[in-house]
Amino acid sequence: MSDQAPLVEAKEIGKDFPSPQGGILHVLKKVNIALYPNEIVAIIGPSGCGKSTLLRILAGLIPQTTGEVLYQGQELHGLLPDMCMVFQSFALYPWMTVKQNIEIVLKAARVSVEEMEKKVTEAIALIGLVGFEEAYPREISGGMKQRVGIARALVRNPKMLFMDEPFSELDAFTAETLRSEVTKIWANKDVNPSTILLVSHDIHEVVFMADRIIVLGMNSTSVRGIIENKIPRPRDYRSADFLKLVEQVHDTYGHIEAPSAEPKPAREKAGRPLLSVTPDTILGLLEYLNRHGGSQDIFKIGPETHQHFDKISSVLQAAQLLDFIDIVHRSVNTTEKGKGFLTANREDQHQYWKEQLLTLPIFAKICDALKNAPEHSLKRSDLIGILKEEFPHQDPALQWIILIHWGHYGHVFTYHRVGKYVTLNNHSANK
Amino acid sequence: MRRILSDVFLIFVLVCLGVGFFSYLQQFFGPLHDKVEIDLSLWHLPQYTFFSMSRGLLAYVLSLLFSLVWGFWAAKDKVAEKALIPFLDVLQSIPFLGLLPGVVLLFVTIFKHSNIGLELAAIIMMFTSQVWNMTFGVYHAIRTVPTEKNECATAYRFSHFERFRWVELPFAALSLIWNSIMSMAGGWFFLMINEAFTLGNRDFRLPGLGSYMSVAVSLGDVPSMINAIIAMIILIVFLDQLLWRPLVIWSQKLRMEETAPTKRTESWFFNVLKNAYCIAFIRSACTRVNEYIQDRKAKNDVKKDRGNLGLAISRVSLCILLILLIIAAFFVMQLLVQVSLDEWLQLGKLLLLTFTRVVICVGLSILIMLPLGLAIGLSEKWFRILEPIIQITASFPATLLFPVLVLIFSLLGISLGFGSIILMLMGTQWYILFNVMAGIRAMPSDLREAAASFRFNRFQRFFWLYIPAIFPYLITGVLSASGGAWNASIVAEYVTFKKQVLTTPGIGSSISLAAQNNNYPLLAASVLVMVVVVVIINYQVWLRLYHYSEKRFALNV
Repeated sequence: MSDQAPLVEAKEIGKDFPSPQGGILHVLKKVNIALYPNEIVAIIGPSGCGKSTLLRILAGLIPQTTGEVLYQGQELHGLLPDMCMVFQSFALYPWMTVKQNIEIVLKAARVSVEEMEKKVTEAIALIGLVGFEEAYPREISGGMKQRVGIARALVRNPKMLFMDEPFSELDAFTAETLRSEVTKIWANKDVNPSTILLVSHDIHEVVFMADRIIVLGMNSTSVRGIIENKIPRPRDYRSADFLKLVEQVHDTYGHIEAPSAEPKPAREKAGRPLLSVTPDTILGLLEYLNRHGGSQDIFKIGPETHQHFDKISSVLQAAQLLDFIDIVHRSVNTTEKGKGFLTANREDQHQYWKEQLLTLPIFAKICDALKNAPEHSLKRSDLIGILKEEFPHQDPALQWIILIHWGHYGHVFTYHRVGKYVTLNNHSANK
Repeated sequence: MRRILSDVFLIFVLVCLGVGFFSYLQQFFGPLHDKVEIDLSLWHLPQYTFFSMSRGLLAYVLSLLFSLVWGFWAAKDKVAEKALIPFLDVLQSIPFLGLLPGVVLLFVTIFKHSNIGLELAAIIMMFTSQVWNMTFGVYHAIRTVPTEKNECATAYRFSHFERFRWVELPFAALSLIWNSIMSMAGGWFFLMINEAFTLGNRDFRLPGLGSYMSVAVSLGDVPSMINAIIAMIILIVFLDQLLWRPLVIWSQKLRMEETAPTKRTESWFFNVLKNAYCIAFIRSACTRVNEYIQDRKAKNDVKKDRGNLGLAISRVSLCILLILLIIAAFFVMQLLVQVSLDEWLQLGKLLLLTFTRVVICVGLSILIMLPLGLAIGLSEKWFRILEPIIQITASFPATLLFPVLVLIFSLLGISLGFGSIILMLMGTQWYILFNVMAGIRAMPSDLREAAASFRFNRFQRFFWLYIPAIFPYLITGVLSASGGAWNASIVAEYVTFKKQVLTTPGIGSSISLAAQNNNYPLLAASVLVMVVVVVIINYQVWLRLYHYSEKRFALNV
């Protein structure tokens, strides 16, 4: 495919957002991707990795901070031509019927009444909405709504179809049906779209649909791997090739998230941000590992617990950060401390948690600061300052919430909502 | 058969409205008389009522246009927003009488020999008591269109107008309709002053329900007063049945929630409209026209890129607005320098008096309406029965009842100093009641069920559940109530009855007196003092409390 000229090219794209606490979040950094005619490209990555942002930058919906987007070799200003979009939340207008929702995009494109009627009828037939023309969005199921979203895009006959997590709000069966229908429509070379860009966090989905899979990593903010998918269509979710490729994507995905072989000494923990995971979830993970004899293959955890990999991945990272587990190649093992934490009674669990917390540089730092402060208390803004210093690229508001949650569970310190200050708990102070 | 009956009825209504409106136009363009005699005979009352209604509706149309333009402008241009919204905050806290003399004198000077000037002034004054909350509603709605629905409009290249018509207007319509109902009710509040007032030695009067009432009051003619009150009630019910209720029903299809509605309100007039052949005919004609326009656009093919034309218009208008503002400020300053230090100090004292009344008034409203609102809102049965009744009662302008109340006060020997608090209460209590009811209805039922399952007693339920659940709503209600109380002080602290003037010291009566005596410097100073205090209280107390309560007591955790 790369013998053809790319339709769209993103060069060194970077995107920063101002964080609500001040400071800047780097969502994307130096991302390069290109879309060619006649292919389906998928962008996959954990939630919050900036994949939807990347799609919107390519579409021209939001401006990039650095880098440039080229359309057929020319620098692009504003919206990408010949592109239609399908949204995660469907983005149907509730005050319009199914038919009106499709019609307006043709009206906006200045199509005559006669032609509009013809195209809308065709699109409705193609996407299986016959009989629903006069229904309002609130009267039809999620799957039907997304059919409207797809019909609305196809009716404009775009060269490129951009889909932002189009099936993530649908149930598994409906999603599967729609995936294969979209792929079939794309495979018909006589009609557009010629290129589909799909954003997803579902590995099976991207392996089923895409020719190329672009993996974005959390916190790394750039492309970590591009996987070619040459499995012939129609693809079978259970074929050996399919499963092998799923494994391969998993590996690339996992490679970013959970590589470390040795439990890290405290020094290496510096700069690793806190994860939005509750102690109970970590206990849940340890419980699960315990049932499997204290160790399990990293890629079996997701399917067996019915969790998305990005969710599992952050739980694993958190547990690893606190030394409750270690990960050797692909095997996740409970550590001694993890076993202790799991089997202890309620009060001792807090104690285990606290000991592990204090191995984290950020908690050590904050405890020191609190000890040296008058009456062992500090204002919220002071602590946010410390967080910003420690994690310049993280959202301090989120880090703050986790910090307080974790610290509270370990009885390390207490946050007083009225007055917005934190005090060290007594026994921690004496220690 | 039913459909033909619908048509007959509809055409009958339209003809009646047409004839009435024609007669109003005659009055509108008629020559200016020095003194308009108001005939208190019952025979003339329908015509007067119709005149007042026409003014109210014309003012409403004006409010609608203004709120759409201003709300859209403020929501779209980030720079203009910074000026437009604070400006709106100030405008809405300017008391009614603060604008009246300026507007009236301006228009009467422009149209020396016809009624147009005075009529326009009355309409614009009514507009000023309708428009602000509608504008805030539109602004807020346009800003909160869900991101993806907006992105979809961008991705499919809707023009500004298309985005407005297909996305923003339908999205704003629901809040616009509710605000319209409130605004229309608020518009009647100053009806009596609006149609009959004196500036210095000039007596301005327009034939209408308000002037009818004020003449009846000045003559002490109790039967005519009662007639006027009944006419007002009929007017409110008429508008409710023929305008608001059908609109509310129609707006159901604009709801954002994508679930089916749980209960349906009925409107017989909406069914008439739905059945009538003539409406169907008009609708199909509209479709034709739309299709014709679309085909013409299709022929012209390319969408014109107007570039930054919109932005340019916005910025130029902003500059003009700011220049006008500076000129106005200059004039006001000229008036203000004539006010002596003693007078300023006096104003400070009066302000404190009225402030105390406002606080007591709001406090009393909460004390009465909070339990009542909870009781009604919590009972499905009472809510269903009372909600429409309360809605109509609340639309009734309390000012029409003032003379009756003042009569009662004088019988009971209550001075106006305290009586004015009751008068203010008449107008402000509804804001609290409505918000409390809305808040308790919005509370998820599982919270109630949880409270019941834990066997909270009445006291615990009240403090642990109901108060936190309705707190943001209560603050919204208090915000509107305190603003309304300040504005009502003008008429509550200064009441005319049977040609005698009852007044009690306060910033409200100071404004009324200054307007009455043509003392414009003092008027400007009193108005300024009131505006400054109201704006400061709104920003420093209520908005802070509101933001706090939104964070602390949000139910969507």
